Amino acid sequence: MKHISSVILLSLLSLMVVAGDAPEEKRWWEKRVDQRPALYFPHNAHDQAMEESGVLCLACHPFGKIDETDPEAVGEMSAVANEPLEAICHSCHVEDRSAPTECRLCHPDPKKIWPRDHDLDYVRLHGPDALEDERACSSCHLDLNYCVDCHFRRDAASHREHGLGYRLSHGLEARMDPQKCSSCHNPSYCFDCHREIGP
Amino acid sequence: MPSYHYSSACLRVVLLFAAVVVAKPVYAAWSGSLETRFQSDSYFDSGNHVEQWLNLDYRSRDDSLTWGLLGNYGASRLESWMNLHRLYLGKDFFDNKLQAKAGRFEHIGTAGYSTLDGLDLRWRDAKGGQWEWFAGKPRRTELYFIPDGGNDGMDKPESKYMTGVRMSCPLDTAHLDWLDNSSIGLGMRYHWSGVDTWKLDGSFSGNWLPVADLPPVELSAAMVLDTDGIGLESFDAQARMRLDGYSQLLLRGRRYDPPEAPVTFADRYYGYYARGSQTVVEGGYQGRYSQTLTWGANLRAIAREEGVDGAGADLTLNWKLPNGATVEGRMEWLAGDGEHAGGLLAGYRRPLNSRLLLELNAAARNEYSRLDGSRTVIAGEVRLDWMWSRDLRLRSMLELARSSGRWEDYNQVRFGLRLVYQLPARGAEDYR
Repeated sequence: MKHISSVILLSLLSLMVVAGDAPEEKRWWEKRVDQRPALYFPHNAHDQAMEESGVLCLACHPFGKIDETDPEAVGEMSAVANEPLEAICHSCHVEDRSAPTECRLCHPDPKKIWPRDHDLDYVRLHGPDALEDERACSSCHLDLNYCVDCHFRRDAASHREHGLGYRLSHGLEARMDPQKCSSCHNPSYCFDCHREIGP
Repeated sequence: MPSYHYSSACLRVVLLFAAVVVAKPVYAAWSGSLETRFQSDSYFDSGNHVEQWLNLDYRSRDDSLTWGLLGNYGASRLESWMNLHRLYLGKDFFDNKLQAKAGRFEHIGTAGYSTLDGLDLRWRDAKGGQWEWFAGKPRRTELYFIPDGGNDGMDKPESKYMTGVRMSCPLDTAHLDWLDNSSIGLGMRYHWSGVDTWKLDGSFSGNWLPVADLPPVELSAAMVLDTDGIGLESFDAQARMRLDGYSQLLLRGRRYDPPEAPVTFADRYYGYYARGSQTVVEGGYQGRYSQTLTWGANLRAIAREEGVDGAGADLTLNWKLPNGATVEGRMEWLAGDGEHAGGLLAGYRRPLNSRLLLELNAAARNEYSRLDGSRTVIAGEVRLDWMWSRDLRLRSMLELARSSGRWEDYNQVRFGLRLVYQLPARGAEDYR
């Protein structure tokens, strides 16, 4: 097991080094991402999809055909002028779901798109709102997959509800506030580990 | 294993149904994803497993028809499992005023979040009122290994059936100058199988407008009454005041008194590990120090009818760096009856390029209990989120933890992978 772990660790570190040292080559328009910090649009990733579905650059860039080749001059002329883009982007990413639906892929800072009450510790407080109107939740969390992914999962690869190392020091909270644990965990969840090592 | 056969049969029905639906020439869209999850744990056998998830979604706007499937198959050295989280058919009637859903689907109610095998009907009127009727078998217990044995029946999932109605409507507060945007909900649930139980529930939400100079206070409350003992089974109330766009004060109180007959998985969990009621009061402030620095502090007091009373606090910090990176810090503390648990956590998240997100976390924790003494935990973690191509994503996690101070201490390496493949959508172009 130690060997496997070492191999995995080395592989992961190598990947980080490679990824960090040699980021993919950006095209000139991708370098302009800083101009729209609230929205990220990777042109590379859209090339194929747009070609297949017949969506033209004109959907966002209402410029005519030009002969200009200087990147800076083209940049000025091809500025996104078809605001707001929500209807265009969401036709694939939200309505059709023919493109990835995870908000963070395009909106790097989720705080700029989610409701204000999500800003501050909302994961802990979302229960009453979900009870009141789950349809309101699903207007962004397109279906209740989002709930399943957290409530019913058993792996830790995507995210964690508890802080790092919590598993080794959860005993006191489990005894003091078991109602909190029971909103996600089944009775047998504890037994999965405690049957192996005791109390 | 009955649930396995049940799931297999359901999957066959799904495939047959899918073939029929696909053959029908309507304007409709399919989408879905395949997800492989792998986790390796150097210490717990139960942490070593692999899972394959399938998510399919079908929607026809013309027919107001939806159909969904979400399921997974998993295996470890000890066991294998198959879960069907969703397999439902939904149809809207009367200009989408009536929503009908049948099959297995997610259900949120005062009993918590669960899946329901049955039927759900919702009627929405033009004024925002909603009536809901549901019936079926709540499921949630099959997701984890159920230990065999025990004579109290607590650790054996029982076949409970449930039906209930729930209505909610906005309140007309035009004549009130201290209440705004409010609604109430009332409902009842009946569980039967062996021990029959009636539950009544109520909820309220709205904005309290204290005085003109103060911002509104967002209120929400939910309660469940157990009719067997005519007692308050659970109560959860929140009050949030947004001082400005970036800060808020929060007060929350919740109480839970376990029923004699546990009917939900939450009841069962609580009854397994605790006795008597618990009351928790929480308060906190979260605000912004500058445009890039936000922080929050929370306090919590816990009173138990039986067991350990105590109090806790946490302090969080979030700092955004100019290069798009984020630094997070957190301090936690919980103490009661001479015992304590606390920790310091730090995190760093940075996009390495447009497709790769790196996250580094570290933690130091200490726990002291009268029975087992002191334990110290040091842990570190690396996470990578890689968008390989437009329809393929890879998430990975490597965690190293070392505990010391107790006889059962150990070092732990945990590695996790998630590979998500977005299936090619069919029919989506029909909408354009």
